[in-house]
Order: sequence, then structure tokens, then C-alpha cells
Amino acid sequence: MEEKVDRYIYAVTRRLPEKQRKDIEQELRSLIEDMIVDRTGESSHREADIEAVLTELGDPTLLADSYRMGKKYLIGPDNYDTYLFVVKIVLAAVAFGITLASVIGFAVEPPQSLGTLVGGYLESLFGALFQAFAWVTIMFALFEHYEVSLGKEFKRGEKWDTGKLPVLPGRDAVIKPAEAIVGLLFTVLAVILFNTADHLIGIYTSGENGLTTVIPLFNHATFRSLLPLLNIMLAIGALKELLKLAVGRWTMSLAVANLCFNAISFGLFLVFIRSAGLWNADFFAYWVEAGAIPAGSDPLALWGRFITGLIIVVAFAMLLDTLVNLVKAFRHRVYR
Amino acid sequence: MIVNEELLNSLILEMRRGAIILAVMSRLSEPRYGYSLIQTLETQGLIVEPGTLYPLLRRLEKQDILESNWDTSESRPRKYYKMSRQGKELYRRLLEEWKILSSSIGGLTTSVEES
Repeated sequence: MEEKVDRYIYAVTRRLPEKQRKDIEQELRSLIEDMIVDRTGESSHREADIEAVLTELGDPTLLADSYRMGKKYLIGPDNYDTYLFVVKIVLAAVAFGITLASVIGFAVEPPQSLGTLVGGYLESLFGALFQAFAWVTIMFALFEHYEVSLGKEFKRGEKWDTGKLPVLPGRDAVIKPAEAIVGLLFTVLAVILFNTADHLIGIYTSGENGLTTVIPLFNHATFRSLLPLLNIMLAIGALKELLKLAVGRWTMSLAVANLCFNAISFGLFLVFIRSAGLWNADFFAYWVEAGAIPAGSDPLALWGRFITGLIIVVAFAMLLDTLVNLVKAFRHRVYR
Repeated sequence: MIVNEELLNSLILEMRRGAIILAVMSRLSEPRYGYSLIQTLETQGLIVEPGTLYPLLRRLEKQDILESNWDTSESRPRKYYKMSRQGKELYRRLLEEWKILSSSIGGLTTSVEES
């Protein structure tokens, strides 16, 4: 009959964190013993008492709950709405991206039969959807574990005054979700393109036998080695759009975050575009052969000038984006 | 009038929560173990279930209101709790708050409502 006490204690402690188990086990054991002795005195027929005491203590699950101070969640009520929202957007973007990438892929390399077409498409679609879902869920589970709360108006414990009340969004202080979602969509597309199909970016020529061949722009090996850089850049881009969605209007802190993101992205872009051996020599050879570049001039030097121009354009675009954000936040006097 | 018992119970639970903490603190300037605390509270007519008290003691310890140590000299090892220095100061302040609350509620519930 003593076994029942052990089983009861086990039923409680197995639901508790490892570190606390031993201490709670000892405390419960001495409590149960006290309660039994309280009923009958030290030496008597114990079976009925054990039964009564354990019944009085009640459902071990509930007791474990009170020890744990509340319930545990994979994704708690604080973040659940945001989670659903992000999952929907990400899944939609991935589905759209995979569909588009497949259409382009099939146009370039037509599949042997309708069966392989549909099969190949569904395989990559569900693979990607599953991955996206898993990653978003893991991310939010980590938020939960480290008690990160998203989208709270005020940080708890911070001193509050009426000045911290959110400004009523005027008509154009609100960020249109469509804007951010389109941005997100293109980011996902770029991720798919760069990670799976960099060799398809290039010049398409048709030979005498009617076969289409591609002369890639990038040197595949170098490009693969630089891919992590590119992916970080794209992740920052995605984060930027998600932040816009979460904040929902033009604020000063959003503008400052935007400035930082743009600065980092631009730095990464510089490192990427100026990497040695990024470009495919055949690509330039083609242009010389086609007569587009006058014989005698160095195609790489010409290309270098083009890249410098591109860097300036990108710098301007990022500067403009940063300034527009700052101006919008300033205009609406949202200094949070 | 039929009262929703479940609602009543949850309201009572809410009301008792803070009061039990005060009661527990009042008996822990000297070290006591859980079950003896239950019995002490019972002699004053306050019934607290072990399933409520034991987790509460741990929580208060985690918040540095109580300190504990195991006494293994007797036949059964027992965990003794007593108030920390911070706990004593908190108890003094809580008690003041309780007295104000208690007299306000007393006044409010005995005087005739004027509305």
C-alpha cells in the first residue's frame, strides 16, 4: 500500500522541472506522513489512511499545476494572433514563389510528361510549405521560451504617462499591409531564385539544333560560397517588412530600425558585389564574340564601371527609403 | 435566488489569495514546516489546503520573501520556512495596507448605500 504514496508523488513530480523534483518529492513525502500520523498515530493500520490522505490531496495533475505556477504553452496567448498572421502571410508568399519558380523552371527545361510536371510541382510546393511552417513555428516557440512578447504597446514596468498613448493613426500614418506583403513576397522569390536557380540567370541563346543554352552571369562556385551573405541580406529585408506589419504605422523607432537595416544590407551588398571571381568569364566572352563590345577594349573594365554605377543607384535607393521613413515618422510626430 | 457556485468559488479564491499570503507571513517570523503551519492557521479558523500552501511556500521562497532549510535531525526530514529580512519588511507594509483595506470595506459594507 506504501506503493501508492510513491505512485502519487511520482505522478506529481514527473510533471515538474528536473531541478525541483527531488526537493518537492521529499517535502511531499514528509507532508503525507504527517497527515497520516495526524489521523491515527504512529503505529496502526495505515491502508485506509493513505487512501484518505491521497484523496484529500486531490488530483496530482492539479497539484503539479499549482507548483508550476500556471500553464505552459508552445505558443502562448500573447503571441498567438501574431503567429497566425505571420504563418498565413509566409505560407501564401511561399506558395506564390514556388508556383512562379516552377512555371519559369518548366519553361526553361520542359519536363518529360504531365505526370512529372504535376508531381515535381507538388513535391516542391509541399516541401517548401512544410519547411516554412516549421521554421515560423520554431521561431515563435523560441519567443515563448525566452518570454519575448511581440506587439505590446508598452513594455511592462516602464514608467507610463499620457504622452505614451499611441497617436491615432491618420489616413497615411498607417502602413498599408499590402505594401509590406508585396515586399515580403519579392524577398521570398529572391530567396528561392538565388538558392536554387542562380545558373539560370544569364543569356539565353539558341544553337543550330534548336536547343536553348544558358550562359550564366555568375561563376557558380563563387556564387554558392557567397550565398550565406546574400541570404542574411534577404533575411534582413524580410525582417524589415515583418516589422512594418507588426508596428502598422510610421514611427520614429521603425524609421531608425529601417536605417540600421539599410546600412547593414548595403554593407553586405558591397562585400557581395565586389567579391573576386563572382562573374563568369564566358559571359563576357559571349558579348565580345557577339560584337557588342568593341574589340580591343577590356570587357571587365567596362563591367566594372557598370557595377560602380549599380552601387551608386542602390546607395541612392536605400538612402531614399531611409529618408522617406524618417520624414513620414517626423510628419506624424510619432516619436516612439 | 440560485447562485452560480462555480462563480462564487472563483471569486472566493481570488479574494483569499492575498489574505493567505498575509496569514502565512504572520506565522513565519519563527521557522515552521508546512504541515505545522496548516495546523496553526486552522486553530484560527483559516483552512488552507496543502495543495495550495506548499506551492505557495515555494513561490514565496523564490521571491526571496521566505528562506528555508531542511532539518534532518528528527525521524522525518522536514523543510522549515521563515521570513527573510526583506519578507519581514514586506509583511509590515502589507499589514498596514490590509488594515486600511479592512476598515474601508468595513465602513462601506455597514453604511447604507446612498444612491
